[in-house]
Amino acid sequence: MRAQLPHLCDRAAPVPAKAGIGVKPAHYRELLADRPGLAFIEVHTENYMGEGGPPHAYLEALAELYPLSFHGVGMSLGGAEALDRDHLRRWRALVDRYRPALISEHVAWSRFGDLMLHDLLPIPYTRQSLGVVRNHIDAMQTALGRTILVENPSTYISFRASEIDEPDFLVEVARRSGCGLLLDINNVYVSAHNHGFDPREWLNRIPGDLVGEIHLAGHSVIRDGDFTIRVDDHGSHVCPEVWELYGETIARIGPKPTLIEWDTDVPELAVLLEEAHRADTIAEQGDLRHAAVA
Amino acid sequence: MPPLHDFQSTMARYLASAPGPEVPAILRNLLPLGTERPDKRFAVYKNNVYARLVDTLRDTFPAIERLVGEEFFRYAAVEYIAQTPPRTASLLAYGNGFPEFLAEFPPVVQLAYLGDVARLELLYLEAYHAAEAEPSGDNSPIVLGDDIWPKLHPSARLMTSPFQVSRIWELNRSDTAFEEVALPPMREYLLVIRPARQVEVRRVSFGAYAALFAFANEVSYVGAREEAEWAEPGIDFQTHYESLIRGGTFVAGTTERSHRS
Repeated sequence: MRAQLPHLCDRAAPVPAKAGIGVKPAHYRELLADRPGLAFIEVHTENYMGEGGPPHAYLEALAELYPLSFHGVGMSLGGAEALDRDHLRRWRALVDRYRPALISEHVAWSRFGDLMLHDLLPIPYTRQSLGVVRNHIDAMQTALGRTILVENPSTYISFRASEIDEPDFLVEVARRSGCGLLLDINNVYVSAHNHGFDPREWLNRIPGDLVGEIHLAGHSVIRDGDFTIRVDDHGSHVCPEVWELYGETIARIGPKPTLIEWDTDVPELAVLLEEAHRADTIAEQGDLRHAAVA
Repeated sequence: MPPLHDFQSTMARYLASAPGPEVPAILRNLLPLGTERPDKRFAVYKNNVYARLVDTLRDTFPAIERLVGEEFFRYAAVEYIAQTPPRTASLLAYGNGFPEFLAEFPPVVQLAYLGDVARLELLYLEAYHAAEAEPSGDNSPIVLGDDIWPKLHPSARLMTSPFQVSRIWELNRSDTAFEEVALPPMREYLLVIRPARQVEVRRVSFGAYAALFAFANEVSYVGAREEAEWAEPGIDFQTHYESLIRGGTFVAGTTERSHRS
């Protein structure tokens, strides 16, 4: 049976269904000094795999103020090979130390043999890969003793051999493994453009009770003549179309913990806080519509 | 569709290889028929992989980037990445072969100090992420005697260079205006350490360096003193030692011989 979402929460009470931000070292001091109101903060787990030093000192201090979300980018849940035991052990040590309220990873691969590719690479959605991803999620949840959320990737290629549509694949992975979903609406929008599907139709296939968190970010557009490809670089404001999809999604499934991600050309903290505020405002309006329908 | 294993093997090798070559037909043939611009699509992944690693190296070696310029740094970084792709999911230690790579990189082989400056930046990063331990200080009693084994702080790193690398590094750490400075070769002995939040780069004498090197190898107080006196005849070792204690060089309160023996 699928674990209930409250199991995802630990250290603090369940993360409020409001906005948080991805935290970068450039923001440590200002966050600690100003303590802006945020539902949670998220970090990339791999950046805290050093033994000590300022990153841990700051994260300890921030963990006293905000619920933490640990977001992994290197587990390679879609990899054909077994998960990296050393990496799992490091993850476990961090989970034991910080007791994050949310834990998430990606439906993607990044490791083969002794090569580690530092990107979130796509898998064909087949019965075979469904089994692989489900087994890896089981292994990660067992190693951590926690339920995780898995995120839909941005993709630039798709596969002739895919047998299952992406949203159905994710729902099936969640149902079989008991994990929840981290719905990245920007990724849906980016992939929809790159492959020519309808993002609304995609989003409508995700049951709200599976969604434990939402990600919002900016992306860039590469043009080459008539051909354009959207690239998920987390380096700009959330685009208007993604805000619109976000509002519609909240109206359909109710509010969720929502993260503003900004990983390249990281702006001042104030810019992230404005985006988070905008997410809260849009979610409140969406929630009113959700309540009216429900 | 080949099994997941085969596809990932091919794609991993393609993505790790140096930028430039065309996408292997076996990868292009995996895409749905009629897919627009397959090469452009695969290139996004390759660019992501390389851009992430170049940025990681830029963050770790800012003085090197300033010394050789942004464009050359990128070129050298891409060469290094193609030769030395990462093996771990965490990139905190990525680039630990970059100093040796630079020292032997033909286009800059005449910049003999470059490898050592990079080594200093790498030690700085190591000290930054090193394990925590309470450092020795004013309140730590100064222990004397032949039969004690002071333990270096886990963040302590030692290096020596025939060039004034710490000066070169200091001059190139920030975006201050470029100026021409003559720094004739002169050997430096350096202790890189993070007793508190900040990483410090300290120039020490050959005698102190010899003692620190001995402490790092779990030599006793008396053994370290002998090393120092050999390296620097007439050294006032006790004064050096007290100053090292005040500087948080050792782990507070541990002078017992370690488990090694």
